[in-house]
Order: sequence, then structure tokens, then C-alpha cells
Amino acid sequence: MSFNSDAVLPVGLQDVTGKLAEKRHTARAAFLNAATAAGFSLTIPPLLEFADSSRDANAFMVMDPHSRAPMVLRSDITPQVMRLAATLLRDAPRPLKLCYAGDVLRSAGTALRPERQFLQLGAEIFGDTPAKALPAVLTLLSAVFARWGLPVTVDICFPGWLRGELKRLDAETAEAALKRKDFSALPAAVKTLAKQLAGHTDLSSIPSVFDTDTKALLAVIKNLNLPGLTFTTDWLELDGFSFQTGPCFTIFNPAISGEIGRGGVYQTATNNEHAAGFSVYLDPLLPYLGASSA
Amino acid sequence: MTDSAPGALTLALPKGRIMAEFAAFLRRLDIVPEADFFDEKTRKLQFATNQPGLNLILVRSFDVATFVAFGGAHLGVAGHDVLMETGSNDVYAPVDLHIGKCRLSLAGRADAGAGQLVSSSHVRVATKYPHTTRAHFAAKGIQAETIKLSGAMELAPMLGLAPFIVDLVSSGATLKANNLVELEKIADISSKLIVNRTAYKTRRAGLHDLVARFEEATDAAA
Repeated sequence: MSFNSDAVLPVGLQDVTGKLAEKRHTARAAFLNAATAAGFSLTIPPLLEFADSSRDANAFMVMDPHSRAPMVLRSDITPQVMRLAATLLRDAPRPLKLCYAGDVLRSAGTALRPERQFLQLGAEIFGDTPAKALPAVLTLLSAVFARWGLPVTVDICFPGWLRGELKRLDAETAEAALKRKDFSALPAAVKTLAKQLAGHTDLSSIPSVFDTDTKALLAVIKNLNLPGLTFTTDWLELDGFSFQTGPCFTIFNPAISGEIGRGGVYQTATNNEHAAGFSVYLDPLLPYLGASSA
Repeated sequence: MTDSAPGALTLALPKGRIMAEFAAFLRRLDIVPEADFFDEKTRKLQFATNQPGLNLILVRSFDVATFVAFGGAHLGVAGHDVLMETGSNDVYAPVDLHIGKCRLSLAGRADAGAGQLVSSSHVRVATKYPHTTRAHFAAKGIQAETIKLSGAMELAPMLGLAPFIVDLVSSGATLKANNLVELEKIADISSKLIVNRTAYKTRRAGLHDLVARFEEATDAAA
């Protein structure tokens, strides 16, 4: 079986035209308007970076014909914004609130999301306490999804704490089973921990084992009145979170398969600064967005 | 995700091997599928139950995992073998149902003797589980070249496709009948209740109740 490959795009890439292209443009503008209205300043990092500044195995590698150095096409804008905050904008006044909207490229898609090019939208706050930054991030999310006419579930987790517990229980290998919620495959100590945490499915009951600051932060979030956001909690979640230190979240909508965004609290590696932010991938959402107004 | 009734949950079940065992679960949970469900000649693929919020679909075992990963079905019943092979982050496996028990094993020709286990860095294997097979051998530093078959793997060694197969083994009778011998167990297998990640996060009320009921029914059976 052969076909004219000149007429066909590489796997995972597509042309966006007509109404869908308009919708993508309008939704992107609605996001940026909400973010800049909330005091986030737009940043536009480049498409290419040196390969050593990115450790993402899922990034496209290319060679720079100019310097002969290996380079990567960005697969995630968040590390670029973190680099900006630690370098060019190191001395800019804090809190530093940045937002971005740009395309990213992956070397491989997944079964659920075979697309390899995405429009990534996001915002980060550097140099503010988690108690202030996380509510600000969630407030912006609420404003964005309200403009898009899409109600979402924000599922809060605390992967940094959970990893600490696994380490304390000498059960770091349980992480894989925990990611699959394969409770039968957990060692006894982790099973006990899982049972203790399983009942806490929303912010009305916060596990007593958390430290005072975290409890206070979660109480603040519970009392935020954010239309369009439903908060749930899953204290056994850590899938995909690696560098985050504080509470994190994953965004879902029951009609859309797969997660639609994520974010959380972390400390920057370069200057140990408090930070919080989120990313949303717009393309899978487009068919579900209401008549979004910029 | 398409629901036949707003808020209804869809449970995907695999045709064949484990249905007889799983029927006991349905009885214990008072889930009564419409009459056609147990009729092997029916052309229907989607079935109502006595519970207005629950529909069943009948698909091939590997497709259960696919339907659940994509959210077409909210829950499903899938063997550990299927889950290892498909490995989606969007599929949770919260309850081990302890049914469909067997093992995933490497087998080879009975007449090749015990010394046939590979010591070279390359091996050729016929299997329905290419991903699991490659991962298993990669952990030993062996590159496995896999020939994907959908069934009747046992024919492959005798007919010269590959000296080894990786397949499910329960009694071992099929291997014996085809002059094969089990060389190594790769994993113990049982069927699990699986749940779509998005449904698990966004539909806690109805879905988590159902998962808890399956868990109780499993404990009761144990």
C-alpha cells in the first residue's frame, strides 16, 4: 500500500483552518486578556534552545547549522519561563507574574493524544509565598475558564509530601503501583497510608498529617469563591509531578478525555525562590468551548 | 464521552474466557443485564441493566483497556496482561477481582531441552504481547524481536516463525498438546476492575460507590 506522502503531514501534525482556527485564536486571546487583566506580564520565549538546557526526552532534537550545537524545539514553555525568571528577569521586582501562550512540539504523542504540536497557555508567579501565589493562580484559572464557558474540576494533590512519606516508609518503589491506583500491589505500610487518605476527597476534610502552613493554605483555597471551578482532592496522586514541593493540581472536565491542564507550587532550582503556576493545553478543549468572548 | 443517559456509567466487559467467573460478581452486586447479554448469538454490543445508571458493553479483552483509556467506557474488567501491555496513564486499576487467574510465561519447544534459554543478546519471540516481551528481555540486556500474533501462538515454534512464545498459561495443557514447555514465568495474572482517570476524578459519587461495591464483593468472595 502506498500513498502520496508529499500531500500528507507527519504523524501528529495537522493544519487548523476555518472556524476551528478562529476559535483557537479567540480562546488564546481570551486567555491572554484574562491573564494581563490580572497583572501577569506576557513573555515570548524562543522556539529553540540549547539541548543541555532541556532534559526532556520527548523533545525534538535538531542541529543548529550556525553553531553545530544540538538544539531542542521546546516541548514545554514552563522551563523557559523559569529560566527567564532566574536569569534575564532575576532582578525584576517580586512578585514577578508572567504569562505565555505558544506552540510546543513533542517527539511522540500518546495513544490518547496523538497530536505532537500543542498550543500551551500558562502563567507563573515567582517570589511570592504559596499562601498568596496559589490562590492567585487558581483565581486566574477561574477567570479563564469562565471566559471559555467551560466548567472544570480542579483536583488538588500534594505529590512532594507523598514522595516524602514513601521515602519515610522505605517504599519508593510503590510509586508505579500508586500511579495506577493498583492498591492490591502496594506494600502493607503504603496500603495503610492509602486507606487513611482515601476518605479525604474534597477540601471539607483535610488530612491532619499535613503541616500547619499547608492546612492554612488549603483552608484559604476552600474559602475562595471561584465560579466554574469544583475542587476535589486526591492525596494519592503524584503522576507527572516531579519538581513540585507544595500542593499541586490537575484539571479535568467529565466530557473531555485526559487531563486538560495542571499546575502547582514549587521552588526554583537556580535561586530557591517560591513559585506557583499552571499550564493548559488548548487544542483538545476547542470543540467543548462555549462562544468564548475575548 | 457519550452516555446513553445523562450521568449513566458504562462498564466494558471482555468477551470470552472470564465472563463465566465475572457473572458471579454481577449476581453478588445485584446487577442484572438485559436478557440478550448471556445469549452468545446476539449481535448487540451494548446492554442495559436493571440499574438505570449502568450500561454494559461487550468487547475484546484488549479493547476493554482502550475503551476505558479513552473514556468511552468509565469502568472495565481487564487482565493484568492487557494492562501491562497497554500501559496507559489514564487507566486506574483499583480492585483486583481475583478471577481469570493464570500466568504470563515464556515457552519453547519441548524437544530443545533445558539449555535453550537464551544466552545471546538477541531472541525472536512470537506473542500477543510485544511490548511486555521486549521490556522483559530488555531488563536482562537482551533485545527481543517480536512477531505479533493474535492467537494460536503455540504453532509458531513448530512452524519455524520463532523458537519462543510468550503467552498466557493456566494448566499448561495447551503447551503440552503442542510439544512446548514452559521456561519462565514473566508475571502472575488476574483480572482487575479498571477505571478511566478522568471519570475517577470527576464523577466521585456514583463511580466510587460502584468501585467500593466491587471491592466488598471481592473481599466477600476471598
